[in-house]
Amino acid sequence: MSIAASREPIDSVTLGVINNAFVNLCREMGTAMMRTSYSTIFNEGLDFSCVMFNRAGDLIGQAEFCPTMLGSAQYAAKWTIEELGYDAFEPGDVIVHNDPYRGQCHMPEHLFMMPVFCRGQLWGFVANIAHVGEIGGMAPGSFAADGTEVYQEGLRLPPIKLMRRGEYVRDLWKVILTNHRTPKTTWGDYHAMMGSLKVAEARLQELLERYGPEFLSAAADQLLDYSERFMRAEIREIPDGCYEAEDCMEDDGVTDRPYFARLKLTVRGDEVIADWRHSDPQSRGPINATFVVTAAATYSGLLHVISNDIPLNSGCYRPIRLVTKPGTLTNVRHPGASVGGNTETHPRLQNIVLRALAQVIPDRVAAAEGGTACNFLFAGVHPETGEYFTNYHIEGSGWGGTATHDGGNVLCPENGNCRNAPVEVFETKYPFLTRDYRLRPDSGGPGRLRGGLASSRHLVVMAPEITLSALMDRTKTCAWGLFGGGEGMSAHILVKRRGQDTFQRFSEAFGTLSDSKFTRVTLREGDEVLLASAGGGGYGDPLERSRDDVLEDVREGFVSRQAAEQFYRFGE
Amino acid sequence: MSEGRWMESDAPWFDQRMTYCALCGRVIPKRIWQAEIGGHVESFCESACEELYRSYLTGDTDKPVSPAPLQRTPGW
Repeated sequence: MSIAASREPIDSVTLGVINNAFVNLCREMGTAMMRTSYSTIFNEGLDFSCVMFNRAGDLIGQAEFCPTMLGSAQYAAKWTIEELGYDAFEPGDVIVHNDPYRGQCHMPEHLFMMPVFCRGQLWGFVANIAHVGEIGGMAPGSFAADGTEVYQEGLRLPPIKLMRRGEYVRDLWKVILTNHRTPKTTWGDYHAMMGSLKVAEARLQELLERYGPEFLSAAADQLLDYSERFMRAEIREIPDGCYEAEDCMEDDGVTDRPYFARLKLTVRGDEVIADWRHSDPQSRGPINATFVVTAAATYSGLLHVISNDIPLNSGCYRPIRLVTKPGTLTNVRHPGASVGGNTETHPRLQNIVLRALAQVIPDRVAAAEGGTACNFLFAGVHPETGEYFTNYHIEGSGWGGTATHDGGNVLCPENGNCRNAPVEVFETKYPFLTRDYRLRPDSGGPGRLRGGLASSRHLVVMAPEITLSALMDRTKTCAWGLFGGGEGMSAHILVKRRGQDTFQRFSEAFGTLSDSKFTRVTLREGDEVLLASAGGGGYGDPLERSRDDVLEDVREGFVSRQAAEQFYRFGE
Repeated sequence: MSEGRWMESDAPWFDQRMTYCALCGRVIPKRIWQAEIGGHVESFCESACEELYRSYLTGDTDKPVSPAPLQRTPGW
């Protein structure tokens, strides 16, 4: 028996207070996660999201976390509820779920869900989704960049109880910890996730005590409806029509050809139909997006062009309809590989939404972002501790220029909203020396509003052996500009073996099929790696950029004098 | 107007076959909305998908999308 929600309208002030309470509950969860986790990708990268659901699995609270997780969370939650059934949930349970074929983004993303009860009845759920940095599979760090099926990407977990009535389900823990390469880190990160759920449960119980379960359910329902009305009103402001766009992934790590995603975006009245059916057939390599990744990218693109005042919950998504075709780049069919679809293809899809909308609301979109997280994964035995380690490192790229601002410099892709690790943390924890870390001059696409700059990182191996994998994109293609703006500079990853004079591509040095997507390359002490991210596209004609801004760019070293003369006619 | 009905998947728990929604393409967990369209029984994740299938896809010529041309800056 469920707790019935009252249909009595609640005043807007009270709704606002409750919405803020939901948001703050999620923020507090995030702080607990950050402060108690073991892995760098958790406590520095912030590659996680904290959310809450009502009893039906609708997202009713979130905060400023990862858009790819936030947009897909409701699908994973609803799947969990439908597969397990309401009767399965008990107080103190924690359910874990990372199956991309059951509504999850990709294998590393683990959903933890805790049911919350009030007066003996299930009221809703608090949950978090986090990128667990090592989950087994064919490559340390679990980014099987040249894998061809989901079974190579790590340990796949359907919705299953990790904790039952507050007690460890030890058999499952043993299976998980046996299959992960760094079980101690998994242990710590899992407990950070569970600890944050307990924080959230306590806060939600306080709200239930203050408002009562029926009133709080009614408030959540009315917030969902309000967000839907808000989103429909925003969509009505976009002229009806059909807007098309495409972009590509440069290769899939297994075959040397581009894969295109194509969107036909139909705006009709107060709803949007995002039709991705005409994307290329799914790739053999792991750049495929699951359905929920495509959905989250579509939601994220549309949320970028509407007012920031909308309460972010499942109601926002109701007017947005998805049409996809299983077996394509934008909806991988089992058992296709998808680990890179969530990190690398997602920003491409989100950018495609903006590119389509550029035709009709040019002042509210951005040029393409660098759009690669430069996923850089390594493992080995630390020479100082003798302990085996793995790490998942990400880089920031340049974001695209907009109608009012230059693109941001060295920001992690918009799908992740994450951070990279500071050099001090990186060097303290892992046997790499950072010889150089800097902005890349001229990497931002020229424009009236310039694309954001990329970064360059020069690393030296300080251990006898490190196993390296990478999954990047935009090394052969560039972030596109808009309305006369130029392209951003491409990314690259290069290696210099000890004793050599020049950097080489990995295909030259190690015979990898792809220069940007490979696994299990063995580096030796003294080898060097140059990791450069991609710049953002420019917006508008570079010749319309203010002279003061060009001068400032040259003074700061963002743009070289040569490029300033070539693209901005600086000095004429 | 929807003309379908809810079906519960009768696949045994060890059966890993997947049913995809004919409109949105999502894998359907357990409860399947089935409707007869053009002489075929189609599976959907909800009745709203059936309705959009009828209003949006029926009569769709399925022509390839003509993409927006990439914008390039000469010399960059």
